[in-house]
Amino acid sequence: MKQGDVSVKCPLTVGGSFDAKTAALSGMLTTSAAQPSSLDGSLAVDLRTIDTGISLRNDHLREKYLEVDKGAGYDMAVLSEIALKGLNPEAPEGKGSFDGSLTLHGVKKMVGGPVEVRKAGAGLRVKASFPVNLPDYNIPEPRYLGVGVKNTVQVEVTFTTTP
Amino acid sequence: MKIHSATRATEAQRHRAKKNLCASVSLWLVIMISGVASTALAEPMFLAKQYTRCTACHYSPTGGGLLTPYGRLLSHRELSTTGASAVAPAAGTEDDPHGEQAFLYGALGDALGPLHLGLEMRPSHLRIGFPGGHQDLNLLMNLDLIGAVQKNGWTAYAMAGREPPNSAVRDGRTQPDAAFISYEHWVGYARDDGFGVRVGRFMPAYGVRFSDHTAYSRIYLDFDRNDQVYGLEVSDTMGPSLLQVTISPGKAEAILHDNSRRGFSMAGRWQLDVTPRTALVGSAIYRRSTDLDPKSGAVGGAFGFAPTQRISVWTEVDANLQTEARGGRSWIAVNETSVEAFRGLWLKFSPQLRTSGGAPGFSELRRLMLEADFLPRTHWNVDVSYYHDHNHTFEVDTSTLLAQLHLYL
Repeated sequence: MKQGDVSVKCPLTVGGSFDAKTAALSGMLTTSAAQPSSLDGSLAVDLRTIDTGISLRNDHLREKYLEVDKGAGYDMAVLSEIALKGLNPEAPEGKGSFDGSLTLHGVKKMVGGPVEVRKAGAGLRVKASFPVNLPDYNIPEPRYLGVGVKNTVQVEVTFTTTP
Repeated sequence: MKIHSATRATEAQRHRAKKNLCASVSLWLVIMISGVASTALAEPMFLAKQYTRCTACHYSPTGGGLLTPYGRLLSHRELSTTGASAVAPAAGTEDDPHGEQAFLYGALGDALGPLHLGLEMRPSHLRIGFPGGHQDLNLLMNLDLIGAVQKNGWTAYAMAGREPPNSAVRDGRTQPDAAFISYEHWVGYARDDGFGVRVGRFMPAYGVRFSDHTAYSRIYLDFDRNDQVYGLEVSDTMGPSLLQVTISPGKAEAILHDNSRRGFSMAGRWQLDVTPRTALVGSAIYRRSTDLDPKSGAVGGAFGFAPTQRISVWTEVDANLQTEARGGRSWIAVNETSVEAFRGLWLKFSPQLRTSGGAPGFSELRRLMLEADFLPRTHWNVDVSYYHDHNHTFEVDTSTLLAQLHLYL
């Protein structure tokens, strides 16, 4: 993977939403020899770099809810065991969907959603999104002085691959 | 431009306009000092901080007025030049009005229970320059006590304050003395799924509530001063959309003090949050005729976007279908570009236009407003605004300098 971004759309209980973003996405994905529709490897996000544009929101998100200082499994979110649907792994350009395992806050759960792959120079531009239900990952309900984030947030991952 | 050429004044009209300048300046003074409809002002510039909805920081769904505990804390920790290093209540806190950001710096502790209060006053200096002279005025623009209680989705909200001299209207006559007024008092209920209802006295939802109550989109659509209505508002959040509909038997002040100006009105506002930093707003308002005013209405659209965390750009365009006593159809366009030059220092640039509507004797107006809004610390900010208004029809210019110390305790 050459370059990537992760954006998490967080809908507020009072209406509206904010984006939490990071460019600290890394990892390697290769076509599985055993199962061509699957991808070996994983994508990892450094949660300590996630930014909401406001320091108080950043502090609460990282320390109270994601607990990034709690140790291994808490400071990173890892997407692995990815399987593509409706795309040819050998020439995956187009629209399809994916399933995968997301490890977040020390909990591993299946996620899935749409994926779009386009050619970008010698590599590919991949855009995928999926919902994350926070209680599934034992993340406390984000509530603060009467304002909170709803339980389900939408994650959008964009990255460019190298051949 | 067609409207321009059709409304150019003759020399006689210009002479008449200059003769009436003093009257205009007096009117402008009244507008500037008269009851400012909102207290802690709505600040659409915070779109740059990914806040598209008023209810993140204000009790009122239409913005302005008392800040919620979250809004107060945000003002303290994130929007003021100093204060970021202060210890904030722990995440997960449900409702914590303590600390510097609380009413009277938290001096009352828990004595008020669930009641949240705010005391607002704005000592100001106003200088209006016009051909041949200027006028200076020191004034206390408003002095209001606001309270709210919020529990289980219910909100009770009320404010009591002082309407400045030469502002209150009783039976069609402007009162020379200050008067008691409660700009807003209402009860509302909001469900977790985004459906809400409120009843009482409030400002109907329309367009973008710019903090400057003399913005052309507020002053010429009757959202500038004590133009609240008694009515019922129903609102619903549907994904990224917000719909607000208000029906009312009439403006609050007309119902209370001047029945001849009382007339049914209805307003609707729809907002789509395209992204957390981009919003589209569509609005409409209809006011039935009264004994003294013809029926009137307006439709408008607004677009706001924030290209960075320090810049927001709002533009609103309205078609004023018929103003009450100011001519026929006209267009109003207001842009407000806000830049956070330094933490807590916002610079605003706002060109504004109102066409004459083609009616004889009514003017095309153009304004350039420059503002520096400095928020050094919780509870107070200093605001300096400069307005250059150009009456394009009569080729008359006025300039206004307004300096305000805004205390919000």
